[in-house]
Amino acid sequence: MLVGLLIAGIVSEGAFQSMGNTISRPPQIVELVIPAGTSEKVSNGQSVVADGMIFMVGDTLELINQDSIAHTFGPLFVPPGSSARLSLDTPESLAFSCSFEPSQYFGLDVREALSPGTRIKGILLAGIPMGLLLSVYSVIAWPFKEQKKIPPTPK
Amino acid sequence: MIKKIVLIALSCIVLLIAAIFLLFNPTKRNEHNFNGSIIEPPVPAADFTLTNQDGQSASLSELRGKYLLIFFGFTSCLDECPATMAILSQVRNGLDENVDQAQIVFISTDPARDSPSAVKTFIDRFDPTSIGFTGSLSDLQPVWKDYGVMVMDSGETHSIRVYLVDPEGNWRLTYAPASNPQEIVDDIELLIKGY
Repeated sequence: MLVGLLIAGIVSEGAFQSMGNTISRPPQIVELVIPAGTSEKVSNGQSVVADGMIFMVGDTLELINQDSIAHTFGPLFVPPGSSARLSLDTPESLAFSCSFEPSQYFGLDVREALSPGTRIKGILLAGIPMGLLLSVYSVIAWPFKEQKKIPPTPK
Repeated sequence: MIKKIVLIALSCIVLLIAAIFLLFNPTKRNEHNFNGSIIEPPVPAADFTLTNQDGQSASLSELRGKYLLIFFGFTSCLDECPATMAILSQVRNGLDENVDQAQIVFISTDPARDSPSAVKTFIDRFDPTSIGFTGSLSDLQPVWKDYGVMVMDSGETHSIRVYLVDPEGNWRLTYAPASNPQEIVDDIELLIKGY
């Protein structure tokens, strides 16, 4: 069991460390600024805001409109000189219609935050079955191998 | 024998910890007072002058002093527009003693077919106190732009959003289609209380 947990821990934590800092931070307000002159650039086919933002469940997207006209993003409407907020409470990939992209679509990726509890849960969920399998292996395989080592009794 | 007992005890502890983590989700949610999307800071809602359901010229600014629930749609719509108007009617009725503080405002996305009389017939189906606006394409286009309403297919495809404007004429909140009427009622009551 302990060996199983150890292996699961090494694999799980290795994967976690390789994915970087973005999956472990606490929920926060993430600002997305629509800069002045966006409408002109968009009408010329230029992209102003980087697509494919990654959010954690519990994050709030704050859309700040510094442009001279109103902008929209999915359910949000942001008049010029103001801001609007969108709560991201469910892990999902979203593609909202928007007015600040030439394609008129903007994608968001909302992921479940990996808290220490989630990481421990992952280790336990992987480690317990692995430990049980190793336990079963130790019960079944070892006595079988030991039987082979028994020298034949002299007649 | 002792080794087996220790292993079983360890396994039980591990299983117990796993069960606790599975049952208890530590993810914290943000707390929000309002259900709609807050416009912060509130800014003056774009004013306009169009033709109302009685065929008279009227402006949005004339409706100051009430909470305005503004919705863009077209009168021959069979799904989203009547559904949203029904929700707004429920919102107004849900305000009970504050019912007179709220006003439903319908603005057409289909100037070719939405005559003042067609708008009147449409809004009267849901709430006869509603105010409907229509006009020519050139009159309506700037209003659509100011409110971020995308209109395509001769008005049949359009943005569906409800705008809440406060009695001072400021945009305060917006709502996605098919919002829960009670959530909008709760928000208006919060605003009436001064939040």
